[in-house]
Amino acid sequence: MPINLTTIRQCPTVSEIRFLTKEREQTLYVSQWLWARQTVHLLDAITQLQRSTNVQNKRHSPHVRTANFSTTQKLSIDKWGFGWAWESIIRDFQTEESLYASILKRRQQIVECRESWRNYIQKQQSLDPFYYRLEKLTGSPSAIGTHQVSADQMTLSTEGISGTYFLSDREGTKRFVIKPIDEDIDCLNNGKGFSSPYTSSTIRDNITLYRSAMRETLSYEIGKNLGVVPHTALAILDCSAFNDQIDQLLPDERVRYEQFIGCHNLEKLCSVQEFIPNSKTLFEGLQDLQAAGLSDDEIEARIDQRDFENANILQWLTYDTDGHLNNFLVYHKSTDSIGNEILGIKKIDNGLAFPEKNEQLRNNLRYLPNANCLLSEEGRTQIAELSIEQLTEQMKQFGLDESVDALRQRVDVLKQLAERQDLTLYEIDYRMSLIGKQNGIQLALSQVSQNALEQMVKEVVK
Amino acid sequence: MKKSAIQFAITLFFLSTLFAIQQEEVSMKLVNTRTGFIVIEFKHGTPQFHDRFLEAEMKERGISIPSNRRADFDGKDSIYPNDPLFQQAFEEIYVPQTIASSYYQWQP
Repeated sequence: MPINLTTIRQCPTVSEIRFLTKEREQTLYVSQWLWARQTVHLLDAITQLQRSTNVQNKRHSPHVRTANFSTTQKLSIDKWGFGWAWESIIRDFQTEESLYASILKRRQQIVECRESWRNYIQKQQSLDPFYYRLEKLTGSPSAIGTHQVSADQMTLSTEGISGTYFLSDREGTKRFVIKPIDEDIDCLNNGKGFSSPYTSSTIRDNITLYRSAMRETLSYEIGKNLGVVPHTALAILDCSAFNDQIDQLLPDERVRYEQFIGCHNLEKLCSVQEFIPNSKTLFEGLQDLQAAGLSDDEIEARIDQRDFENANILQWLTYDTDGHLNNFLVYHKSTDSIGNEILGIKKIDNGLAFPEKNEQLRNNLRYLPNANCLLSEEGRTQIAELSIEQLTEQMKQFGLDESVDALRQRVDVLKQLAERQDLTLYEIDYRMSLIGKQNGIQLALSQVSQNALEQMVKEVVK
Repeated sequence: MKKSAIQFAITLFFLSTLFAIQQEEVSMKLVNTRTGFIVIEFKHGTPQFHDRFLEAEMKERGISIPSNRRADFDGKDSIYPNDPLFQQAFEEIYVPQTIASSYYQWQP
C-alpha cells in the first residue's frame, strides 16, 4: 500500500513516519523518508506552477469533461489518497472512469445533503441560543445561514480517524468540536487515510455514510434528559482549513480531477458540539486510576454512578456501534467526603450510532466495575417514561428513517428489561446486544440467569 | 591499523542497528507518552495486558475485523488474544480505529 503523501507532507519527524508506516506494514528508513519528503515538496511546487498557469479555466468550470486523456485504464496506484479502503476499491471498480463516476456522485450527494438541511438550520438559528454562542466566534451567519470561519480559529484534531476540528475563540481557547459530514470515516473528503467513494461504511455494517452529523445531533436530542451528551447542533460552516480530497491527490491526478470533478468545496454541513474543557478520555482516565494502584471497588467509587447509568441508557437507546472507552470523556464533577475526585462522564463521537439493524452494539462501559450495580429506581423510571412514538418522530426529523424499525424494536425490549429489578447494568447490556442475533429478542427477554443465558448464546453461535 | 579500526566501528554500528531492529520485532509496547503507562506489551507475538479493562474487552469481545480486511486475517470476523494473528489485528485494526491518538506510541 503506498504511503499517503499528505501524511509525509505533514510529518515533521522520522519517528512519526515510522509509526505511521508500521500500521501499513512498511518500513521506511531515514534516507527514504528524506527522499520522499523532498520529492513531495518538489511535486507540490510543480503542482503550484501548473495550477497558476491552468487555474483560470479549470476552477470556474466544475463539471467540464473535455479532457483529452483516457480514464478507462485499470486502477493500480492510489493516486487519490483513499488509503485504508484502497484494496476494496481496486476490487470494486474496474476502471478509473467508473471510480471517477462514483466520486462525482459522492460530491453531488455532499452538496445536496448540505442544501437539504439549510432551511432547518436557518430556523434553528433563531430558536436555539446555542447558535448565538457559535456566532460569538464566527460572526453572524450569511444571509443563507452559512458561518464563515477563519482558518486561524480551526485546528484539525490529531486524535481519531475522522476529520474532527476544534473551533477556538480569539484567545485560542477551544470552544466547539466541528465534524463535517464528508470527512467522517469512509467519506470522500476524509484526510486521515480513511476515505472512500462508497455510500456504506466499510468498518461497520448497517451504517449509511454522510449522516454522521445527524446522528451526532440526534444523540444529543434523545439524550437531553440524561445529560451525558455535550450540546450538539447542525450548522453549515465554510472554512479553508477543511479538507478536500483534491488536497491529497498526486499532482498529475489533481489536474485531471479538477477537470473531471471540479474544484474545492469547503462549505460543509457539520455537527457542532460544545467542547468539554479539562477532560480526558475514559480510556486514559481508567489507566491513571490503575497506575495509582486502585482496586475495582475503589475505581467504582471514583466514577459518578448516575452519569455511568445514564451513559449506559444512552448507549442502549442509540445502539452505538462505536462505544469504546476513547469515545467517553471524564471530567472533575465533584469531590467525595475524603477529598477524592469523582469523575463525571460525557459521551462523544456518536456518528456510528443508530444502525439500521440492532447489530454490533459496542458499549465498553460494561467492562467497568460500576456495571455490576443494579439499574436504579430512577433509571427504571426514566426508561419507563420513554415514548417510542416521540423517539420515532425525532429520528424521522433527522432523516434517519431507515433506522426507525430498529429503534422501536430495541426500545420495546429495553422497557421490558427495565421492569425487572434483578438485572445489573452489565446484564441489561448483554441482553441488549443479543437483539439482532437469531432468536435475539427471545434470548434477551428470557428469564434464565446470566450464566445460563451465556451458555445458551454459545450454543446458538455453535 | 586506523583503517581496520574504522571498519570495526562500522561493523559494530551495523550489528547494533540489526540488533535494535530485531529487538523491535520481538518486543514492542504501546505507551501513553503523557503518563508513561504501558497499555499492552507484545513479546514474540504474545500479548501482556497492563490495562485490565482492555484485557477484559479483548477476552470477551476480541477485535472485530471489518469485512474488507478479513482476507488478511484468515477470513475471521473476530480475533482474540490467543490467536496468532492478534498482534497484527491489534496493530492494524484496533489501534488505528480505537486508540488513534498522538499520545499513544509504539516503543521497542
